[in-house]
Amino acid sequence: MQHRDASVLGLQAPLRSAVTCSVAGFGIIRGGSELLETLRRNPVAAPGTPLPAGFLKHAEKQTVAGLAAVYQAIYNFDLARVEQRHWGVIAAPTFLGRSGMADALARFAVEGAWGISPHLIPHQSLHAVSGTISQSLRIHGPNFGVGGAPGAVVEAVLAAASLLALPGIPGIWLVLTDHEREFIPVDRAEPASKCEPEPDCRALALALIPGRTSSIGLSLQICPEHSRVGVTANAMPVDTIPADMHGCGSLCDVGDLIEAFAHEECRGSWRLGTSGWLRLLREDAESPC
Amino acid sequence: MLSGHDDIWITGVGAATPLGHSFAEIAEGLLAGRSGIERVSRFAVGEHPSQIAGLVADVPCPAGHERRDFDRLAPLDRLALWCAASALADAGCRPERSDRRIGLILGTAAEWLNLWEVDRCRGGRRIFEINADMEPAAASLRQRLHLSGPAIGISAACASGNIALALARRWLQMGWVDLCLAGACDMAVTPLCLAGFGNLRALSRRNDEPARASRPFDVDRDGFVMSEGGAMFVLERAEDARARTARAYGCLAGCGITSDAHNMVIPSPDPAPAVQAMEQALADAGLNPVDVDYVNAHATSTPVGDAAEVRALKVVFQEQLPHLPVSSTKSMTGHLLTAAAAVEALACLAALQHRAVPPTINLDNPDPACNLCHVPHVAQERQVKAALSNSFGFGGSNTSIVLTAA
Repeated sequence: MQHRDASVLGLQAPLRSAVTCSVAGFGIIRGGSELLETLRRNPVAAPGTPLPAGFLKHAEKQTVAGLAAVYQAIYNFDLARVEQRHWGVIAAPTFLGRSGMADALARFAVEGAWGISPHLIPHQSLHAVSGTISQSLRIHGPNFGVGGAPGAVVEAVLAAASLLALPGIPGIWLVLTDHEREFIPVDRAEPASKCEPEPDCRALALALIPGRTSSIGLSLQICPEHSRVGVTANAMPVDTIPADMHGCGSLCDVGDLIEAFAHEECRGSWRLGTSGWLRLLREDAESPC
Repeated sequence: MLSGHDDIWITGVGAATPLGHSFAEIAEGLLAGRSGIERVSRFAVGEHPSQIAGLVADVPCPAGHERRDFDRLAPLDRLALWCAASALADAGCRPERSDRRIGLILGTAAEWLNLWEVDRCRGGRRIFEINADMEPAAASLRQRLHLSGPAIGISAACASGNIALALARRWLQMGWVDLCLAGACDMAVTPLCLAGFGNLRALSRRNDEPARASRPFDVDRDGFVMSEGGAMFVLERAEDARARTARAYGCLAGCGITSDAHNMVIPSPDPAPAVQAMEQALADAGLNPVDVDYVNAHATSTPVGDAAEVRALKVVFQEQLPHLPVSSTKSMTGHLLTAAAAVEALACLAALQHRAVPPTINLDNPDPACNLCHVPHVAQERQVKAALSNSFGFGGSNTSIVLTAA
């Protein structure tokens, strides 16, 4: 990934529609089955909010990783002291439930309706990650899932920006999860099916608060982009988009960006798919607005 | 950019439900007290605990789209395309000829699970072919409809439609879009899904009386009835709609969203979060409880859920509640899951337009724990200037919207 200085990227562009928010903390989890099973059996809890041992028993692996990333952010950035009761939770998993659904389909073929777990739908649907995090942190603000496929970063940040612009939402947990690479689940109905080693599960949790008030010196500006599908000549930006912009579509990119930025290694703007863009700013940088 | 309280109008509706494939058909069915529930015949249900559902047969191909291409789409994509294209046509909007910035917010809770199951039932192996799945429904719908604005898919389970409407309203107020398609679609009546909810013991087992099975607030209710369908709406700023002399179905006046933080599937015994969602929506609309003429309840026909909602309604509406008509249109449509909130927003628009409150059918013996001003069996003539619609979902979501006459 190429990192460029903000000044090269035309950051004096007007930002009529951008929403600015600050990163109050972040957590990044990356691990295989062994780590996830440990986290599942011993769910970490924020101070004062213990979780029952079986809390994550039926959770999808991305839910386990996403929750662990949130708790990492809470501990690393001392966010337990921040009142989060009215925060929102937005989670963007990637192909959540592929493995669980493959197992369910195989069981259904053998056992019929009787073999389908009642936990399948609540824990494998798009809102399962956000719902679990909301429950574990006793958060009473909005919680919902976004996207569901690769490239959902843009959907997630746009949704987060929309919520942060609402009065009464003091903060958002934005949680992005996926696997290092999408993997083929075991086909239990096919005896010759090979069990592929499962790639690492990844999760990035960002604690976002409105405005530029973060103590860790990292802000985001989020803005939608308008363009005719497949006809870039007719693009209709609401704002002047910096011409020299990095492409950025995946959770990995954003995680790398956040980490690098936190270590003062990069700054700049990143286009997110075709629907929007994300600009990273340091607190000490001059505001482009 | 608008302030937070400028009017946002609904100027187009597209829908497909067990009661019909247009606003007019569905509104007529709801006000006639018609049930859309039947015995499932699409697949074998002999071993399923619940064998009844509301089904959408043969989603029509929207004008201007190739029938062959349409037939090749997955059922959920066909449904979403019909609802969204119909809503745009109803609003008199042709994105391919418009320079207006049109966004899309689509509620779909389990589109990949649905896609993989439908494919597997047809003998496919898509769930094992990782390169086959790349583009979610919202992105492909954006492309098919030539929309120029951002498109996102969201899920808050049964509350998804209200959250899509709330975000769309926000995008318009922020100046992110000039017009926004928002709503939700679900084609969840599949063998696994029916089995999963059945094994959760959430579904009615009144298999011999499909049309009488969904009976919210009734003392003999025994669970909800699954259903499928969707509704999409075109939202725009009132000043823009007036400028083009667009017809308005109503105004999306307020939204409230909270979470229980209690359990993934069981409603909180504490009514406070649901109360806060309703109070937020009323405050956002600048209304007091006394200004509300009709409540479309979430009431799914489960023993626990209906009573929990009544407790929350009592806190919000207090002494007004015995005189405030409350009904559950799920008694006719069944529970459309992800699409429920969107279809119930349509029911509220029907109440505004037709000056009548849709009934709760099958309400033969109201549960004493659900003592409300019910509208049993038949619609009630009443001028509705403001309607509040509740939708609650798995994951603990509580949402309320307020729709008013434009």
